[in-house]
Amino acid sequence: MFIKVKPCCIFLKKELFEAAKTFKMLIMGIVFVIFGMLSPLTAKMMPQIMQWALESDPSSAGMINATAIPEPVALDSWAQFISNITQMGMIVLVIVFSGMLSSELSKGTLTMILTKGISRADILLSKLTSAAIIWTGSLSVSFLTCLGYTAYFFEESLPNLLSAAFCLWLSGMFLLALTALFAALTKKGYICMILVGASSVVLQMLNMIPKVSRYNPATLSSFSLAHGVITGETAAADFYPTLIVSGAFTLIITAAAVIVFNKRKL
Amino acid sequence: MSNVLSIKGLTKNFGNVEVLKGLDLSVPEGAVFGFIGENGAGKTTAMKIVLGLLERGEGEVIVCGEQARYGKTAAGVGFLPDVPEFYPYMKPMEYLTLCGEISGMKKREIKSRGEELLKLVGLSKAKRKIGGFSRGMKQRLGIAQALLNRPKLLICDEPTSALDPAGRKEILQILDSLKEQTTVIFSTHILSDVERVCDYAAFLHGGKIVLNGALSEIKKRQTDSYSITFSQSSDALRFKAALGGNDCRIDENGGNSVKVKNEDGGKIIALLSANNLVPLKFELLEHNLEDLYLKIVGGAGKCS
Repeated sequence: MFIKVKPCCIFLKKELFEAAKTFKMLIMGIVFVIFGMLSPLTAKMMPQIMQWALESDPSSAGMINATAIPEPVALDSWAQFISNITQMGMIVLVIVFSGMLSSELSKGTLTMILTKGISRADILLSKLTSAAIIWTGSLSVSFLTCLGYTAYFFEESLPNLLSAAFCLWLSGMFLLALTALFAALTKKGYICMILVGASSVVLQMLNMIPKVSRYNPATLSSFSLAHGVITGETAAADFYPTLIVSGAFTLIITAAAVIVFNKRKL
Repeated sequence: MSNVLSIKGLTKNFGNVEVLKGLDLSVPEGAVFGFIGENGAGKTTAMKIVLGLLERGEGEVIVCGEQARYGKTAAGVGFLPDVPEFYPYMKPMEYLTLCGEISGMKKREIKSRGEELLKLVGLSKAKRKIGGFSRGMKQRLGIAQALLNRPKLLICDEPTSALDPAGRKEILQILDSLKEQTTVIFSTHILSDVERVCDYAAFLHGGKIVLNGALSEIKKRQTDSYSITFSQSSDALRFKAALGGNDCRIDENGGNSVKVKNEDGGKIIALLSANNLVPLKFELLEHNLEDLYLKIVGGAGKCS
C-alpha cells in the first residue's frame, strides 16, 4: 500500500540530504566532536600548560614552587565543555544556519517548489526541524565524547549532567528559532547573523536585572547555570522557570517566523 | 470551449504603484496563449497571483475551476519561471522525485513520468548534477518539472528571454509539441516567439488587457491598411489625388500601387467607384505583431 508522506516530511528529508551534501552536517559534527574531545583534554593538561607558561616567562621565576596548581577533576572538564558550547558552539550554530532561507530566496529555488502544493509554513518548519535535528545530534555526539574522555581521564562521574545538557540544548533551540525569525525577516544571511548576535547581547544585558534573569532565555546559555546544575548549587526550582519561559518563547518565536514568512514577497 | 483560466477585474498595488488596474482575461482550454506586454507591464505579477505566490488586490481569479488562493497553488497548474533555479547538488531525476513526492504522486508514477519527461526535453542521458547544467538545459528541466503532474494549465513566464537562439528554438519546439497535452500560457515580449507557437494572445498595457483573442483574429481586427494595385501608374496617381490628405503612398515598385493607412475599407471602395477607377487588386494588409505591439505601447486607446 502506498503511504502518502506529508510534504513537510518530504521537505525535511530534502533538507537533511542538503545538509549532508553541503557539508553542514559534517562541519557541525566535527566542530562539536572537537569540543567534546578538547574539553577534558584541556582540563587534564591545564596544570601542565600553566607550568610551561610560568617556566617560559622569566618574570615569574621563583614563583613556580610557590604556585600551587590544583589537580584537575571531572568538574573542570565539564566546566570547559560548558564554556566551549555556550560560546563557540552557539556562534558556530548561528553561522551555519543563518542562511537557512536567504540562500533559497535569493536564488529563487523555492518558487517552483511552492507551486507543487507545499505551504510556506511547511518549508520553514522543515528547515527549522532539520537544523534542530543537526543541533541535537551534534550536541549529543559532543556530550558523549566529553563523557567518554572525562571518564577515561578522571575516572569519576558527576550527577545532573543530562539536566545541564538539556539546558544547553534548549538554549540552542531558542537561538535556532530566533535565527528562523530573522531569516524570514531579512534578505541576507549575514544580516540575520548580526541580528541574532545583537538580540543575544541585549538578552545577556537584561540579565543584569536580577528579577529578569530568572525568566530570561539567555540564562540558559550562561556558564553559571549549567555549572550550578552539575554541582547541585542550582536547585531544580531555580531553573525550571527559565526552562518553561525559554520553551514558550521558542514556540512563540517559531510561530512569529511562520507568520512573517507567509507574508514575505518572493 | 471552456476556460481553464478566467480573470475578472484583477487589481494589484505595490505601495502607491498600481500595477494591475482591473485585468480581465480568459484562456480557453487547449490554447497556447501568448501573454504579451512590455517589461514592467505586470505579466509576472498577474501570473504569480494566478499561482498563489502573490496576494491579489480586488477581482476574481478562477484557475482550473477553483478560486486562486494566496499560499496554495491550484491543483493542475504547472509553472516554469524565466530563469528556473534548482538545487545544484541534485541530479535531474532526484529533483523530479522531490517535486513528484511533494505533489503527492506515487513513486512508480514519478519514475515512469520522470523518465518520459526527461526524454521529451532531451535530458535522459544527462546523469550529472544540475549544478553543471547550462541555462538551456536548466530551462528544459524546468519544463519537465512543470509537466510532471500532468497539469491542465502550464504557466511559462518569459521562458525564452534568457536563452541564446539555439536554446530558444529548442524551448519553442517543446512548447509547440505540448499543444495536444495541456493549455499553455506563455508570457513574453519576444513577439516572433508568440507568432511561432501561439494561437491566442493578449496584450497587457497600462495594467489592463488592451487586446485579446485568437491571434489570426487579432491581426485581422486591427487591420486598417490596404494596398490597391492599378493597371497603370496614372490611375494610381488619380486615386492618390482623390484620397486627398489621407495617409497614403505610391508604391516605389512600378508606381501602380497605392498603400493606404488608417482608412475604412468601405470608404476606399466608394472612392474608387466615384472616380471610375477599377483596381487590379484590392488587398487587406495584415499587421504583424510587432506593428501591433508598437501601436499599443505608443497609445493604448487606439487599439481597443
